[in-house]
Amino acid sequence: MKKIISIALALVMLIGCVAVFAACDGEEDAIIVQTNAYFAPFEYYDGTEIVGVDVEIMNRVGEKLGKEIVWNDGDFGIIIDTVKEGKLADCGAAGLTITDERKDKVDFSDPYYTSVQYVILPANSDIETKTVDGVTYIVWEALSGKTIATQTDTTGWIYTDGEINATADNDYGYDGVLYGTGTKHEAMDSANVAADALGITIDAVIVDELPAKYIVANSTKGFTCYPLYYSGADGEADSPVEEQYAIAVTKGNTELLEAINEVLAELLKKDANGQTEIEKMVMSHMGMND
Amino acid sequence: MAQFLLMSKENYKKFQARPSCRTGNEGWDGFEREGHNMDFFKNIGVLITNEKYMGMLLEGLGKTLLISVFAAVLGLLLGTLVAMVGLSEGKFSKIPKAICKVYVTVIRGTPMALQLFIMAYAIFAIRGFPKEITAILAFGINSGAYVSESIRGGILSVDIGQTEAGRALGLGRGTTMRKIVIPQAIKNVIPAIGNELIALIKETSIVSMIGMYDLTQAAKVIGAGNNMASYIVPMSVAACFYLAIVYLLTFVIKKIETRLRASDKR
Amino acid sequence: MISANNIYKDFGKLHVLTGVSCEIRDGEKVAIIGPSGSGKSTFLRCLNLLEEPTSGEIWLGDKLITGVDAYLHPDIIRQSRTYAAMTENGVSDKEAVEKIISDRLLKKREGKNFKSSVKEFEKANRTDINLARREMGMVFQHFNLFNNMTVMQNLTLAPVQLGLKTKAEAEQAALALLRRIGLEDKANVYPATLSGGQKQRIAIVRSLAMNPKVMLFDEPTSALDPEMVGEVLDLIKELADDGMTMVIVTHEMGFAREVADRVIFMSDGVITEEGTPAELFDSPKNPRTQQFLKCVL
Repeated sequence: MKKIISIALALVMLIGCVAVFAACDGEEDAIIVQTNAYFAPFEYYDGTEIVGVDVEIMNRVGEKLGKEIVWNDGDFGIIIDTVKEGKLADCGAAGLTITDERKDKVDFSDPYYTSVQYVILPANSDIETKTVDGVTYIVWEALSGKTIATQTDTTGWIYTDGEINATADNDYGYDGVLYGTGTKHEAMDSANVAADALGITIDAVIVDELPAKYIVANSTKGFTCYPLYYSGADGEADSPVEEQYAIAVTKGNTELLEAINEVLAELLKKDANGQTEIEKMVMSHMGMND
Repeated sequence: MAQFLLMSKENYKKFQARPSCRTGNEGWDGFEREGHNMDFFKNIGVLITNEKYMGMLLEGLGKTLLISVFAAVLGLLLGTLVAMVGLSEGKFSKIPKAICKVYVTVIRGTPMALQLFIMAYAIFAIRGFPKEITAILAFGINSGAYVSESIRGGILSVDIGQTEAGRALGLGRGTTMRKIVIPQAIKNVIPAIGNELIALIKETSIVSMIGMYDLTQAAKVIGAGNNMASYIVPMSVAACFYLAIVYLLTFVIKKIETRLRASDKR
Repeated sequence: MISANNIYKDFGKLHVLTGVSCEIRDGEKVAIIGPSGSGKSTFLRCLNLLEEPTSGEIWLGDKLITGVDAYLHPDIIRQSRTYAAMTENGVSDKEAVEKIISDRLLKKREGKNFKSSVKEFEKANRTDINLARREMGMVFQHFNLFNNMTVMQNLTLAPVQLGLKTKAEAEQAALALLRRIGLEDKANVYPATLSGGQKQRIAIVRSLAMNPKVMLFDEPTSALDPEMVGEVLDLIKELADDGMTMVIVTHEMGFAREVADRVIFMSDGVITEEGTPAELFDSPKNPRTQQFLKCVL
């Protein structure tokens, strides 16, 4: 019995060592994309594969440059820093919004999608909506005193944190709309996790438009969602919390950046119906046939 | 907030033209889903009979087992080595002994999640380095510390009279340890090591943190909004998988224990 | 056969042995008695170095078992710096040596000459303790049979492992020993199934399997039920009659009187009195001895 065990152990270690050596080469000629694959329709898991609009975009980039595309799934929060380092990933695609802070760290491709922050509400929510010119939306003030959940490190998180904690006197430098209203902010791993708690411990989830619509479409609990607006200052119209997506590339990697921009330019051309390839891709991943 | 936005008026208009959500009654038509309802057990049935979902779970299970087995082996070997060094005596063993002590203290004193993170993003932050290897090394090294303490404890728990009798007969330290102490220590050590292996299997569930597709990750993905839109169902099924593995392991360990206790019968 | 010179043993701040010297001659049977805490077990365990003396020397025949204790060797003391310093200041040789010994003046570093003379002495006289232990058998109060082995394996382990006998030879010898104590039918059982008396008798023959020159018994019957004490004592008596040199720490006064050539009474870490059984038991001179015997006899 002892002999069998020791032989088995030795075999296992041997296999292990061989595997390590085998694994250490390869991957030289690949483009590694850092992502957080919980953001339909841009990247999400279908079975064990990551699919989505960003996947299709990067696949075309890979074809163009003749390189393999490898996806690295991880926390949303580390994407920008990983791309900035440039060692473990060459670029990041995760429905990233262009922000000045992020631009300091990485280069962004041309924007390829404009999104608006949405608020997901549970059934029978008492949060007020406003309708102007046929568009129903929610202003920040309507969320006063509620518990809001967002995904850590996303722009939704950044905005919500700002509105609740900012005053002209502290580090933020401007006045947050919800400052001092007792509004609570819960940061969660993903919008899906937040949505699970919606109606139970959370009153509202703030997340980008498409994931919001995706979650509502899949929900069996009667969720609804509305765009999020800033109240206009006296006399002005209310405006949506809008932002643009782009792909982050390590600073200095001009070859990759140009290739991505070329691909995006192609995909953003309008066809006979005034639709871009990107829009069509989005629709198809959202399950809508057009 | 203006500094965060790059608003363009054209985009604004584009946005206006898109369909937006209305109240729950009008819904988001065009999107077909399987007919879920809120019944927990019915959903479990849906999951189990769905080939795609079960495929995901089984692939995740495979990864979990892969990491657990290799990490366990590494942990056992490393733990035995460290325990032996820790028990050795003589002038050449001072430094190795100190190194082992530091290793055990640090590994036992820091959370596994932190160790995994450091291994993945600091030590093995090498382009293209397979995550499986990182995970196996992280869990193996962690396990080794606990195993070494179990072994040390087991050896020290053998009555010192056994060692004294062996030495008094003229047998050397090594022979006494090998032939007399260790065989008796194993009896005490097996339950502790068994516990450690069980803990290891369950600990591997944190690899989703570094983006690995293990059993827990599979459950997460199934439960995400694009699939079942409910975490409790796939998580429960995944829990059953873990339970089954642990039960099997417990069974095997009990069998080994019984065999070893044969010589204790009165 | 065995000589212990000026043995001191401290356990931290506890002084268990404070200057014990003793000689065991060939073929002698020595019994050591005394109150608990007197250091008798500790002293016995020093003889085969299961306890290492803090200072003093133990010799097995002409071989040194412990390290060199310089205070026992004036020639070595004369090589030290301390001695050199003293004689340079006009102290006579005899005085210097005496003073160094009585006041324990040697420091950790006494110079190259000192170190090399110690090394030389060790090289010439010291023996590996494992080799020495082959010639000294020890029997413990709690038997200490190897629980993971059968009786036969217990008896053959050491001779075979140390290359003294082949497996076949060892087994034959073991069977003969078991026959002698009437336990050959227990050859293939595990110790857990045996009674205390059986275990101890097997422990005794386990030591005998190594053909030792001297046997050390550490309270061999103290952990036995009264009914089994007799069978073990009978075996020990047999060995004594066959001429085995032995040192026995015991509380069995009757046995000591019957078997021992010499009885040593220890108390408070020193040998308080020693003599033949008749001398010690019938007319103890030291009041401490008298006090002890009054309680025990």
